Amino acid sequence: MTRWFLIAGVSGALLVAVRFPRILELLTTPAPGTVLPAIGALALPAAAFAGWYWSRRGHSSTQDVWGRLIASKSFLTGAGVVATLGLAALLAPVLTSYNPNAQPDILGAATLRPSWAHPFGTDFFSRDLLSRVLYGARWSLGIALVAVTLLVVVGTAAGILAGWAGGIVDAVVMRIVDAGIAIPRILLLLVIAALWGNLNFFALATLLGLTGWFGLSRIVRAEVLSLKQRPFLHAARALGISRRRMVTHHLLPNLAAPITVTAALGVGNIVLTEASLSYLGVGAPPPDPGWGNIIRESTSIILSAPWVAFFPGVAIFLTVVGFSLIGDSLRSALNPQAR
Amino acid sequence: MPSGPISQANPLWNLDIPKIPYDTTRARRLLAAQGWSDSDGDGILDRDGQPLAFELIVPNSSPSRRQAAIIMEEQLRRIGVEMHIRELEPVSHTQRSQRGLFDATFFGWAQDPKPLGSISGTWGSEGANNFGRYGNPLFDSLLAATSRGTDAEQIRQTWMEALRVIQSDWPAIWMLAPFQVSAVHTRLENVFVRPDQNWGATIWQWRVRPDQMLPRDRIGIR
Amino acid sequence: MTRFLVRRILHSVAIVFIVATITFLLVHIAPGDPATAQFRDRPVSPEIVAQYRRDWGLDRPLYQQYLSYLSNIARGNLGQSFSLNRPVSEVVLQALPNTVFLAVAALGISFAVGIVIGTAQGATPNSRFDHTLTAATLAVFSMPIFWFGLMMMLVFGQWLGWFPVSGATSPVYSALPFLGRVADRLHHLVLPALTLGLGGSAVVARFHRAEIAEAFAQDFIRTARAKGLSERDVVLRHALRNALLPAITMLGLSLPVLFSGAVLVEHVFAWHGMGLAAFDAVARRDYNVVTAIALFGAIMVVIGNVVADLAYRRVDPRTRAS
Repeated sequence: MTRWFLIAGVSGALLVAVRFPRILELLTTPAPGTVLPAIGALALPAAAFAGWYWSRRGHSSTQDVWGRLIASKSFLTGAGVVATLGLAALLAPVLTSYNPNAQPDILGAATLRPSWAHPFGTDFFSRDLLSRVLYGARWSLGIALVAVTLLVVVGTAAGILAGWAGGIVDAVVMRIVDAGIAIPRILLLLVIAALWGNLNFFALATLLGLTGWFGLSRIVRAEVLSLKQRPFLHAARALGISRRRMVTHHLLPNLAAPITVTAALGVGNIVLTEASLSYLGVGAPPPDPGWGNIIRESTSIILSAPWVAFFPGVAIFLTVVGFSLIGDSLRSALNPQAR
Repeated sequence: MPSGPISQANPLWNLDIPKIPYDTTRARRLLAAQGWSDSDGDGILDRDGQPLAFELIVPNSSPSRRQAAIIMEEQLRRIGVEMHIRELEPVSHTQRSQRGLFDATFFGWAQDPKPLGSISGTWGSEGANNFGRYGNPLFDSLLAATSRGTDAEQIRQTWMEALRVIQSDWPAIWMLAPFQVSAVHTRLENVFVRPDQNWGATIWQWRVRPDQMLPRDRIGIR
Repeated sequence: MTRFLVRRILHSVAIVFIVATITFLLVHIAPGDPATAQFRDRPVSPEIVAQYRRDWGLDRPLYQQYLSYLSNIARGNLGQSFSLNRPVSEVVLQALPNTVFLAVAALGISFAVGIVIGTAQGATPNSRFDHTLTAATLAVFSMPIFWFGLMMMLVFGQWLGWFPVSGATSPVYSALPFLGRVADRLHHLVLPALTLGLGGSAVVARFHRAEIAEAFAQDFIRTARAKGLSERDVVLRHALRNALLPAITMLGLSLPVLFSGAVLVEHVFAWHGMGLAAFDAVARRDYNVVTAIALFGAIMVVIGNVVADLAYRRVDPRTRAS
């Protein structure tokens, strides 16, 4: 099984390496190219869950989890909302015929009320707001995906490292984590943002990911510490199983549940943080739309054109609700006794 | 649009400079004459495989400059020029401008009432704040000449000559020279708005005429 | 107990030291310095800028600045604000009351609303009532706080005109009689405190609901019911009392989130507190003020954590062994 993982990983890496410029281009031009992040934003929690599901297929408890999820109204609602948003981002060019950055008539068509021609109205520059919100989804959801992936990888690695190694390594890693939690994150991000100003897609995603993993690493560490005491790991150790195999075959599958939940909730959290940062002036480079930017641009015209502030906020709201519902129902499906 | 690096408050402010109309066909023609054409059909002009694109840095603290940049981006795109806007945190923007780390920068200066210091610092070839690295010996010598002599009319002529020189060189596009407008209710007296300060700098000296006081003006007055 | 305290305090000092170092490095790495910020849009001569740097010791090597900064804060000296030319402690103390006022009001709203909702939900788990409230708290929790603030401003400030939308006091504040001042402050407080507090109340409610539900599952509740106590007494006297201490530990843990929220809310409502001061200080590269506010935030968080731990050890003897 490990062999297949290796083959898949290497060929995937090769593909990425060969097509890197194109992928980079797709990812970094929100209008109209960023299809990948939008797909990914949907795919990540699903993939994490699928990985977990697959690693323990055949277990009767897994069937139960799936059954509980399917039966859960909040999971279905959340998945529905997230799927709709993801599809809307994906199909933006089909759903709207306006270019999100085009200013057709800055004098005559600025700040038009919502109408049939412009369901969400137009903004200060006469741009169609619906298409800006749709294309903005690509930026906002895409950032969240990349950041959450990074957050999960770094947080899990740090948590396992601290929990598994113990001693001085544990102390050092956990003090860094404590400090990371103690610095007000918004201040940290503001100062870091001053280093670069308007960040590009990957830089912003990396920034959000690298400042967001502290909480997860605490959870993972606690989980590792409690797993270390469990009989099956003692047995594995007694059998002389290698450390790496212990981590990949015994630790990770057991960590999948908390990680999946954190990832699902993390997407919503990152969307919120990204919006706050954009509101403070660190978002998609203008004129490209991101949800936070649109709200930022709307504040000067909020009295004459409140709809410009309203719709992107609703989009953020729906995203966070969707991912929270998924995360919560995953949590209760994975440990039924905690209900 | 201002006709040069000069504030509206300055007596040298002069609107006689001919305006360039907004004319996309003429712009395209001028660019084509320089060899720029859209040979690969992507909507952006290119020459020798090089697309006509540049980056404009704007401080994120200035909504008016941001809005102007977004409109410029659209207008340039219509003639096939790609302008990337990069918003920077204000101090980073200043530092990049100082160090010349930009394709184009959208900068603003507060100007002294006496123009020589500000203008030689920002446009003289030795100027410490000459971010565009503009250098024209004729302009420098005319600036130097404005501080010699006592004949006001002659100094004014020298200044006008200097401004004509820099205008014909177009080292920058002077976008706006905003007038700060302050409106004060006539109930208030002893109002003085200092041109070099915030409008409220002398507000502690303002008074409401006693005969025009409203009930709310009497709060705390016995 | 003493050993535990000593260890926690040493940890806390280590954390504060790391925070001090990280913020110091970050603000110094950021492009430009107080001099650049000071003369941003004025074409002054380079000599003036150099003189300014010399006066403030900004021309020294970074490690020297770092060492003197460390020795200063170790002696409790926060230094001088570059942009305001006043001691940093004065700047922070001036901004502090407004922030404390807003934060206390917001925390009050968070916990009052959160605990009421959480208790009501926990007492009737999985009822329609419970689900409705869950949906409501989830909704509040999912809004970007600055957007929520903008919408509150628009609806209650602009369209209905009930509350002022910016600042902590009216322009005529200083001329008001005492009661008028109190009323004026409270009037200005409503929208920012609700914006900041309601988001927190959703978190508290969700946490508290779980605690109450857990308390209900335990034996002493069965005993209480068996004794024939009314349902009201069971909920208020037994379940709630038991679930309240965990809620208090949460108070300590919610401080960092509260601070980040306060920065945004203060920005939206032009509320002159620590958040806005931090924002301005970053923009002016006022190194000493930025680091002081970060340190202050970190110390609050660390104290919150220690208090939360102590409270938790009092309730739950199992944690005493570790």
